[in-house]
Amino acid sequence: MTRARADLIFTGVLAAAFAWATFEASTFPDEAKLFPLAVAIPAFALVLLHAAGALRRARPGTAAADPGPEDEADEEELSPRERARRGMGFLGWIAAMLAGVWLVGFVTTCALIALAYSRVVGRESWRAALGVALVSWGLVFGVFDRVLHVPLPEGELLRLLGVS
Amino acid sequence: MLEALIAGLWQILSWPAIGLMLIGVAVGFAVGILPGIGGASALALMLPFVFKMSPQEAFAFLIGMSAVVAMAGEITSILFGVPGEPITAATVIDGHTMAKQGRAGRALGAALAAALTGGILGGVSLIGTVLIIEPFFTKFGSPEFLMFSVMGIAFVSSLTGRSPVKGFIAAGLGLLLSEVGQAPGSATLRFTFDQLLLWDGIPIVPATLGLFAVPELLDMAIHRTPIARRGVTDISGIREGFMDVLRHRWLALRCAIIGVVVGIAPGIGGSGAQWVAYGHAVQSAGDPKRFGRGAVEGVIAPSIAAGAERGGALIPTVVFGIPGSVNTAVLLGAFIILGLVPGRQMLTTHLNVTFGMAWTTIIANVFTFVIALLFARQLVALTRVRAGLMVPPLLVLVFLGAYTGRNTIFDIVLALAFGALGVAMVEFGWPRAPLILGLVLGDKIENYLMLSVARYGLEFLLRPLALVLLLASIAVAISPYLRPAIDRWRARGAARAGASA
Repeated sequence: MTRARADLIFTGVLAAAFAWATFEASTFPDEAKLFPLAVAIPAFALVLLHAAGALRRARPGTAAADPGPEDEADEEELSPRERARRGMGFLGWIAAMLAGVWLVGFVTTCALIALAYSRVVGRESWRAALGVALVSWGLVFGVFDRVLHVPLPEGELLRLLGVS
Repeated sequence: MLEALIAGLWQILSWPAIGLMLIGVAVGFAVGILPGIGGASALALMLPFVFKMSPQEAFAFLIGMSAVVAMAGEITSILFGVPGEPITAATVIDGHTMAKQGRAGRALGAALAAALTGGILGGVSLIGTVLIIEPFFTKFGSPEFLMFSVMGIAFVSSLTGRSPVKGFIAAGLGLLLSEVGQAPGSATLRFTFDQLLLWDGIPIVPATLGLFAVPELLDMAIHRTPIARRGVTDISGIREGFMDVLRHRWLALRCAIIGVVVGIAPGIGGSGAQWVAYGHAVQSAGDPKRFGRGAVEGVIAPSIAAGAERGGALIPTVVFGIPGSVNTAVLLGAFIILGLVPGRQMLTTHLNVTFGMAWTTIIANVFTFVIALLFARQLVALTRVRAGLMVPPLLVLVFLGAYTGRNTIFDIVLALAFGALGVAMVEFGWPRAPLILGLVLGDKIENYLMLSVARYGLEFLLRPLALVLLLASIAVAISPYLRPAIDRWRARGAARAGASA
């Protein structure tokens, strides 16, 4: 999929969001709907305007979309496939961490994810990986749990098993 | 008055106030560096400790803590791309880009010097304006505060990058997201999907962390390189950063004034001040295209505004008991605990306490500056740590930062959702700054609009100060589009003059 086409899909998602917001806001009482409608309708019109431009750019043979202000040249020249593979892999780590926090709590999950990520993805030595795990554990348990007394979740699984 | 000024300084420098201020600075430094633990939460946690303190000691401790959060937050924003505080998110755009380019030292130097200058000017503004602002402040009502917020949103036009349409759509999305939750003045729930946790709206911390930190982490995880991709992170760049603030002294001064003014206006807070200052820096720059690509002015402007906002926010709190931000709302609790009444008493009987607050703001920033400089080498060295060792602790910080605001896993999910949005926006070249500006200012605009209409009808638009601010907002909004036309017109005029000569 080309970048322009992907941008078009993103624009479509935004258009759908603004259209839904307009519809939803129209069901609110008068006072509550004024501001959302004042925002959503012009924004929807602007999205359509942008979509028309994006559609033109997405046609084969036309110039690529404007890269925008925050985009930077990829210094390492990774192939798109490799970028996607690594990106999806990282999403997997995030999902694992979220599931871990919910199931077994922050303290255990953060230390384990830090250890596993450094070993598997970073290919660090056991010593370095254990060091990172210790830092992460210290941050969660030492700073947030002990010093700041943030009520961290204990984990649903541990609660069900009666371990916590 | 001079006596009170000297007495205020003396009381802050005497024992145990100075010791308590140092403890406050240390706590504030840690709070600022760690994402998610906001200055307001830390203040609230420390409030019970002030019961047995004298007013001077209590404010040395609390304001010492609150004053330095912004400066410490800049460090995390620049080095890791993770906003240490929501009020330092704007620094990520150019500051972290500089760090990735191997210019972390320069970015850090500029941010620290700017935050110090902002902190000092904020303290000076408290001393200077506290006695003269009262008559002016009574002229301010909801229409004027509405127009302050409108002017803030007008700066979106400077943050849109190459595609104004994309920028305005992003701002629209931010404004719409700010509408999530209970409508002001009614019980109507808007866009909450029956989620109790959305009744209060979208919290700014998970949104900022998601939009800015998650794309940076993903980028680091994909490239598997240290933050400083160019390898060279020169500590001597710190001095260059200091010089940058001097070089851009007029921009710095203007942004400090923006910080103080936004601080005075209740409700807008440091999150708005930094973006308004950033927008102003883009707008007033000769070459706005450098912004987002490591422009040092993009570091100086938000840093100085965030630093100055703290002093500015103290002014309405002390003079009228109107907190300018969440931080000062918590500080108001300290006033009550200590048996002080904000208002005339603070300008007469307790003037030394008021001046003590200003001195604390100044001295605490100097202390933090020195601490940050002492550890600068180690801090900058962090940008050379391998990605395999850096990604896990940063990911932990993002999760903890998102969680700690309301202590719910829902906010982590929210941060990840904003992270996905942030990644898409970066990937397709959509500016993220207008979205955050819309999210920060949207509910304020609606609240003040409702209040203004209820109180004055549409005649609120004819109030002189509101009208001036409205016209200024229009000028701010259209100036980036008029400027190229004016430049062309000038160039044509110059060419014609050259030809006739």
